[in-house]
Amino acid sequence: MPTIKINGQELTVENGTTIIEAAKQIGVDIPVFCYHEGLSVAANCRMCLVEVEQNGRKFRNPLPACHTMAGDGMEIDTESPAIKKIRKGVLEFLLLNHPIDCPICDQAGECYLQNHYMDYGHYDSRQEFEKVKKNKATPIGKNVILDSERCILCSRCVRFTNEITKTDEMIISNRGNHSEIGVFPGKTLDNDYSLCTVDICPVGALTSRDFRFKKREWYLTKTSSICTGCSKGCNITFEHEANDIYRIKPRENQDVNKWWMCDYGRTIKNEINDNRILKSLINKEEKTDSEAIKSLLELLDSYKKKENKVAITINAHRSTENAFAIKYFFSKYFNIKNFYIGTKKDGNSDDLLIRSDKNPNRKGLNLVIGDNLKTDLQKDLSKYELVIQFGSELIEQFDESKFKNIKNFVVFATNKNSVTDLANIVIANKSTAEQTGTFINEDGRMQRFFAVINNKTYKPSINGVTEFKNSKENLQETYKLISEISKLAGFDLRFNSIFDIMNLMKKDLKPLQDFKYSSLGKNGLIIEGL
Amino acid sequence: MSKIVLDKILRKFPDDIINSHNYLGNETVIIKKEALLKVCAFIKDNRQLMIDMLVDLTCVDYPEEAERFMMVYHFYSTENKYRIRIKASVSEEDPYIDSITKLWKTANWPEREVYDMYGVKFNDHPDLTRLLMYEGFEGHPLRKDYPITKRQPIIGPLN
Amino acid sequence: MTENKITNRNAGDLDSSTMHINMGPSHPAMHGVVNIQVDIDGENVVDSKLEIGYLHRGFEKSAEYKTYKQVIPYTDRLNYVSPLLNNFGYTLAVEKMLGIDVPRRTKFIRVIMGELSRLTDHLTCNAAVMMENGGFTPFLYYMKAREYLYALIEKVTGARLTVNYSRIGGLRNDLPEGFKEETLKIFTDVEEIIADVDKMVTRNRIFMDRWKDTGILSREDAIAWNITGPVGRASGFDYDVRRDHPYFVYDELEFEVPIGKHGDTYDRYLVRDEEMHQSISIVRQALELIPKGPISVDDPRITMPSKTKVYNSIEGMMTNFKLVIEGVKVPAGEIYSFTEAGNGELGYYIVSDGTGKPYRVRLKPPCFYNTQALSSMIKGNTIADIIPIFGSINMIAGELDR
Repeated sequence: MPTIKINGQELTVENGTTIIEAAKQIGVDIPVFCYHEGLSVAANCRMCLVEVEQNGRKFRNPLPACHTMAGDGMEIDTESPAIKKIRKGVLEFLLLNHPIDCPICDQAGECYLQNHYMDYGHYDSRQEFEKVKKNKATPIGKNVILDSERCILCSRCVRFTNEITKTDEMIISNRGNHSEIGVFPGKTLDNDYSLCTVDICPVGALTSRDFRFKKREWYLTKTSSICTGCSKGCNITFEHEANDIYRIKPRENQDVNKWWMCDYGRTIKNEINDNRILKSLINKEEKTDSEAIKSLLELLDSYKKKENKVAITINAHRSTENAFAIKYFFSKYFNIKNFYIGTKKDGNSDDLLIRSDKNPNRKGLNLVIGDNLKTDLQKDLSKYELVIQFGSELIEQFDESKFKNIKNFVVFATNKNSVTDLANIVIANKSTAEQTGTFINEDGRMQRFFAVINNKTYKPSINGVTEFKNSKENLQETYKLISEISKLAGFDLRFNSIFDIMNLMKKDLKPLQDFKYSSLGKNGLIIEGL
Repeated sequence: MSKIVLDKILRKFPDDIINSHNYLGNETVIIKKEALLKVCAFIKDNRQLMIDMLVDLTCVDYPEEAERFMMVYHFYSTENKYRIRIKASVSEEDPYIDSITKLWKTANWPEREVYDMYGVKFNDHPDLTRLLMYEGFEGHPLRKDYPITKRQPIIGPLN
Repeated sequence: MTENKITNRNAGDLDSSTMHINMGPSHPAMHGVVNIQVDIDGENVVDSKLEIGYLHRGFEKSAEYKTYKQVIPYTDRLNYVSPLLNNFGYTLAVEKMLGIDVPRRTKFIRVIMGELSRLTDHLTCNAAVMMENGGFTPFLYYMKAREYLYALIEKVTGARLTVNYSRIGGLRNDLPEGFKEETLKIFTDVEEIIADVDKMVTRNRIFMDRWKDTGILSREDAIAWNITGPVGRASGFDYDVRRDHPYFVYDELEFEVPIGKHGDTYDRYLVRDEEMHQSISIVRQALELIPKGPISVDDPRITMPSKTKVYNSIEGMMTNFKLVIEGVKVPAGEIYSFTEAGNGELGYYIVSDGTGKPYRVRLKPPCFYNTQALSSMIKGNTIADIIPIFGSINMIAGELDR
């Protein structure tokens, strides 16, 4: 357990800790280009050099903090004048052949070269010759575009394809100042994690084709959320502005997805942006939410003594709190006992992050509804005359030919598809991304996601202001719709926020007895006793 | 310059202090919200400190922290020219904190403004109603999740 | 819903109950828009309640969405009769967080322009108080004096009210040629006008009768209600940020701080009157001592590079790009920085999260606390006294409601 000193502050670290990891523990920031915590160490950028003195003897040359193990008695200086000069020198070399692309480069605003120059650079260029020209804007796969001039040869993408996905697509060819990144001859970058290389590239060399020229980074608001692609529950960040989500990036969670996410998870934004149900429908005519809810209540009243003909399906994409609110309300006030779970069918899996169970909250529904949760709706379909489905995802239990024959089919929907085309009453509600709540993933880990709030509900136009054409401003959360049903039916149950729902859950469900949202922390919490 | 205030508070209430710092010469102490009235009464009555003026009272919103709202109080001693900043955090699930209007009557309006803008409620406040917004306004505008361009239902005259 | 009666009397009382009237929000004597609801018994005020918020424009919310430089025009519109003082208070707070010190010439210019703004503030307040008591002539005299000052401010900054003059690390532009001679010439005119009005008003029987012993605020009350500035000083509370916690170059200039004894409306008028003389004296001293030199600090984190560098080198391009888009990055932390504005201690509490946009900007408005004490100041006085008392606390709606 060596004891070291960084900038005068003493700390004791585990054996085998590198200086850069030790500095992170006490909040000292060392600039890097090629170092990434999830990949092996290359030490080729030389930006993290620090001055080290051990047992009174100063090392002749500064050492790279990413590769040097902390030894007992080391005294490390990260801010000496020599180190400041070295950082300026490293930046000057890296920027010699860098094209003046900032106005057209996607990475501007989140570029390591820009940020390190503004923090440590501040020198004037001494270049008097032409820059080296290379290929620009070449697609190397179906998701990624390569611009060789901007590359600083940190080799992060090469190490990623070697060590993480083990597909060995990226290489460095040629030498000297003609070296460039590329794909192995005959291959393309098309593994299931190809967009992670765009995340880790510190400059604008590798960029996403989907996001190219769409939005500048500083307009994007970032909201933490959980991916709904499969039951792994990778932590993600939605980056959104006004009415649309532009990009999804992974968040670090050492217990779930480390630093990565798969390419399929990045496409879930298309469902949230496009093809939304914005107004409730009764028999395909647009009505207000209250009118749709009133006709739902009339239906429920007509089945008052015949509750065994009513079934409620909750898709496994609903959050734990919403699922509990639905079950509590309908079982207590309407005496309905038939609860079904709607799931997407199983798909492929691999040994990295992709799981075959494509539903984010199956365990959450199992916990909340308990033993009465039935799974095979399509077999029992003929028994029911009124089916209320919460969620318009295309579940495996949905068979168009059989669902056509249900007398009354009500859907609380977010997207327009074949499910909502069949329904008698469609009630518009917010999608999971726009609500806050929790999911329980396949390991029993409960994680919280936060709501994507649209900060601009109208845009300026020549005649004043206009609403966005497909503004989702007026949609309501699922628990608010439940409160509305309760109000129109004359009951006094109201849910004003997920905290109200959680207070009821704590009384009813034994594993959540002492639960507090603050105990979820950054990595989520494993729930015992599921 | 006001180090003496910080030292006295740290010595007298060691269990209620969460953190303290002196960034840019502004002495600051972060306490638990249950200890607010105790600490304020102490600094007001102590003969060596004589902190008799409440300079300002406000709140800051950190939506992704465990305790969302951080109340910030600035105090000043007219006699000794000491300044101290006291902070106490309030969570969204339990948004109540003691009001200090009994000690300083000038806290009345700022606390109403914090209630109006953030939704933090004060126990024993003489008149906790909205101050700057009109009655019938929905929501709390200075929270980070209130969109800056949100519209409100427009209400007509009272009669 | 506001109740119709603020004080509830027993139904068994034989004497009549109080009457509830609304003064405002649209009222010729309410400076800006404020609604005072008074319960009166005959002519005497029994109780009152203020309703504010008519001019709330969301300054603090807007500041969270702009870079530090883009917030400066918003600060103009706070106390709109002395916009330069708000500008300088804000940039002082940001400069403290960045740890930079502006050049000496900038400090002198900020003192000079700040005192000119303070002059316009006090001129407006005293003029309004006198006009509401029937003296239309002294009001117009003071407006003429104010016009000289506004013309001078316009020559320097380009605008009378929306000045946007201060920058982080300096100023927008230097003083024009001939500023010193013009200012000294204007001051002779302004001093003559103030002396004329002094002769008309200060020992005038009507004004003394109306202002003496009305709206009394004791020193203990001033401290308890957190009232600083001319109102607090008129009550005997001896506190002036320029003298007690000096900033810019106030410690090198000599000036006196007038203190009142009785805390009534007359004392507040006299304190503002004397402060105008002191401001003129400060500007005269500063114009003698002002050095030559640069007006903006030359820090690469803050100043923009030249266009040749921007278009021909990646380094210049990156600096220009980041300074415009991200703004000046202020290290994470918080600060409470205060200066002396026209109405008292103007404080800015800025919380930064390390990026180029502030996380929270809180303005501590001196008018807000002055106006809160109004209820206790008008109790026991007659309705006719409400007008001069309200005028003498100098409530500016832009700063009260932000």
